[in-house]
Amino acid sequence: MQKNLNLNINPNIGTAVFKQLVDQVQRLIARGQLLAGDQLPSTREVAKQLTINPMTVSKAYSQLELEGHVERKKGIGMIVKASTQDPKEQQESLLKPTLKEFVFQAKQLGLSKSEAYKLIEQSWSEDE
Amino acid sequence: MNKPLDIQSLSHGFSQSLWPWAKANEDEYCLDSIDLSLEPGSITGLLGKNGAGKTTLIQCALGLIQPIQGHAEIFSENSWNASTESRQQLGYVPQESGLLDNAKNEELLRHWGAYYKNWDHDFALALLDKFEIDKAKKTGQLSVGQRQCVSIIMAIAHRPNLLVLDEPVAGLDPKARRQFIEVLLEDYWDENKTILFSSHITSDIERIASDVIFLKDRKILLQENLDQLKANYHKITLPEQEDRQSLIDGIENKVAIRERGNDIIVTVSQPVPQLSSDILQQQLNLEDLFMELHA
Repeated sequence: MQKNLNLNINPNIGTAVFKQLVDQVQRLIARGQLLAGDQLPSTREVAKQLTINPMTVSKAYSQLELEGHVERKKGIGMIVKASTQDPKEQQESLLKPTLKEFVFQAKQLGLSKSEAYKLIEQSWSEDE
Repeated sequence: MNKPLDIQSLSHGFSQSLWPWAKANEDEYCLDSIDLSLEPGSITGLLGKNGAGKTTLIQCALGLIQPIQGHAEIFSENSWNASTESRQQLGYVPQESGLLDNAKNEELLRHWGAYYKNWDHDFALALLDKFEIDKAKKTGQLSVGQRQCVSIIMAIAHRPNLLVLDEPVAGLDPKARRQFIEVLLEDYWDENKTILFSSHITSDIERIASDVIFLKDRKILLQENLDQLKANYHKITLPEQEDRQSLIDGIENKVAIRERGNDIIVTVSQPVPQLSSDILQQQLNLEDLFMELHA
């Protein structure tokens, strides 16, 4: 089944657009929004939807294929593969970089561990 | 396949463009030993400060002016005396369009199209529609931005294999800019088309370019794949501390250093592994990188 992915990119940050796409699809898989057997939209479609270079989307798809998240099926397109990685592990590895940055900035601002925890709790409940 | 554009050790001087017989003094060079080549299918953004030589480089590349040293080739032919066949595969949007004011848009496009074997007039009219420009209006009645759109149509309606645009979006509002990018990507570009465009709008370049070129101090400072560039270039912020200088000396691949308040900011072309955890190493977007390289 082909799903509308609601992908979102910001070209004007330090992370390359293709990397953003790779990360997002990985997150969708980790969250269970993309299931094994689901079909990714065509590169042209994604490029059109986000107004980006179609080559960038194919590059992201190739990377996902290389990392074993999806497979290319002739005449159909990109299909999500059954995950071999532990979903918990996957979630953690996706969050790591953001956490690292958060910890760095909190330290730089002179926050204590418990103050930083409190901030996370606050943001968490604000978002609910 | 022939390289759409190949430039080798090309130099050009200011006085040469005015008095071709004058001998160039190296100090007067505005382009100095430029090497550059574009792969088929690539979209390259050309960046540089005002006066860096972007327009001169483009004009040399297309054979509109003759360089004093080195040469430029389009489709493996010297640009300066390239055959009509090669020129038919070329599209060019100059910085200032210089359109005839008195012609109606459709007439202008028809006359212009008569020069091209592959001119697709229906495509040209469809693009006028897309940009919401009245085909019966005279070009002189259009706004700067609309004239720029007509100029863009003139450059792509024969579906050239090499498209060169010199600040194509300078006069366009954000909506027209987005439309322009959509037209380029959806209606024009495919794997056989090569695009070179200069722009100060780094966000546009980040959206569509596969490669970028920085022109600085008459030379090419870097020519790199955009994804690679974003993965490699980093900004390291070093707060005031005792061993700071020796830390800086130990950093490899430095490309720029500047002070900001009490911090020293080092830009590197390769991330530094194993930095101590209280030193911030960040990726850069194009605008940041531009600023750091010109600081």
